[in-house]
Amino acid sequence: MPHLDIRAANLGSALIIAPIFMFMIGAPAAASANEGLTYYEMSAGYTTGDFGTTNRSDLYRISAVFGYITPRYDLSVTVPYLILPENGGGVKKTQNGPGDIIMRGGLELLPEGLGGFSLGGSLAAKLPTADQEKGLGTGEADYGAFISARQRLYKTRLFIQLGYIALGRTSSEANKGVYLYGAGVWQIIFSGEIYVSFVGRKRAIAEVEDPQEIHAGFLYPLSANHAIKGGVFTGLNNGGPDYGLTMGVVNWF
Amino acid sequence: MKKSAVISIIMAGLAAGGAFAQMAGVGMGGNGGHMGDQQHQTGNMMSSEQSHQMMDSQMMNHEMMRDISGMMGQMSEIIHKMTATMDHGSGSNHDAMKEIGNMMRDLAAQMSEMSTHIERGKMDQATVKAMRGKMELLIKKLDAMQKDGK
Repeated sequence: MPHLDIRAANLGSALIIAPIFMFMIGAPAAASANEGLTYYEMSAGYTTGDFGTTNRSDLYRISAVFGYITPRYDLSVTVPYLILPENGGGVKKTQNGPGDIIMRGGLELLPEGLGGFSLGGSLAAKLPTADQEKGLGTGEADYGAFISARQRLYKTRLFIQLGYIALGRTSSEANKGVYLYGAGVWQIIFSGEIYVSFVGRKRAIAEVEDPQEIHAGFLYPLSANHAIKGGVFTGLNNGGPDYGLTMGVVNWF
Repeated sequence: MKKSAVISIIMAGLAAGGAFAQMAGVGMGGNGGHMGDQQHQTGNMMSSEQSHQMMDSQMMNHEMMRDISGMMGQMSEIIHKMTATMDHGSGSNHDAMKEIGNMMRDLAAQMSEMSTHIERGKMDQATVKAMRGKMELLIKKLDAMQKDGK
């Protein structure tokens, strides 16, 4: 029976990841060379919190994102580097190394029409590239599917998001998958954009509350092909982080 | 540009300063001795970070770039249609050539306007819609010329 479980899980994973890779390989070939923009983003982030346990933990992240975007679809690869200070058994040490790589492909299922409504879908895979022994990753691939509905009202845009992430087969986790939900608003203000959003998800680990967070941030174009972005977030219950911040630069060409 | 660069440096400095200040205080708040807890919180923290990245919960820069990309796509379509119109024999027609010349001037003006808007960070949706409307008109004119030329 365990063999059957593993086969079923592998088949499920393959069914999810196959469309992502087929999409990533096929979509650029189908589009004309001038249709999209290539972009890269460098960002740094910090997260802290006890996440429902008795210990407080910090995580520092430096991420590089490489992507391609057109009016119909977008593709990206996120390569993080993580710094994770640990304080276990009275011993303080810091683990660091590459994190799990995230591949993502999004498609405009219903492009924005005259009414300002649009619908987008995306698939993502988290590859187990981080060192599990160091605690920088789970050592398992996760796969997610998401949908977002947006409504533009002149300089304001409202959105809601729903998603599901199928988690890798780690015995320590209470759930084999988590669902996510979110809602928010963007507003064009001065020369840039600001946003506030709420994000919640089912907990991946038992004994804590389902994490819920509030995010706020900005995007400010510095020139015709680059912008800075930043954000802060805070958890609304003990399942999420106490707070965190992120800053980054986006370049496109 | 100088102002932008200064803002950028200040913001990066604040972020780095905050991060290093926190780094200096690592472990001060922990009570130690709970490796199970440590693993749980690390797992939850990773899940939190990674699920946001997978979901792309900010989406903002994608939308901005999608607007720009859409206009670049339209410009590319106009140039291709101009080439096709000239290839189909309109090149020998003085009036058609004059019309294409006017369109090229319009297109150059649109490109210049787009560049100025982006540089000033004023790429709001009203501007995007207005510019896309103008380019849509150019595409329709070219379609009509191609039909007349056949």
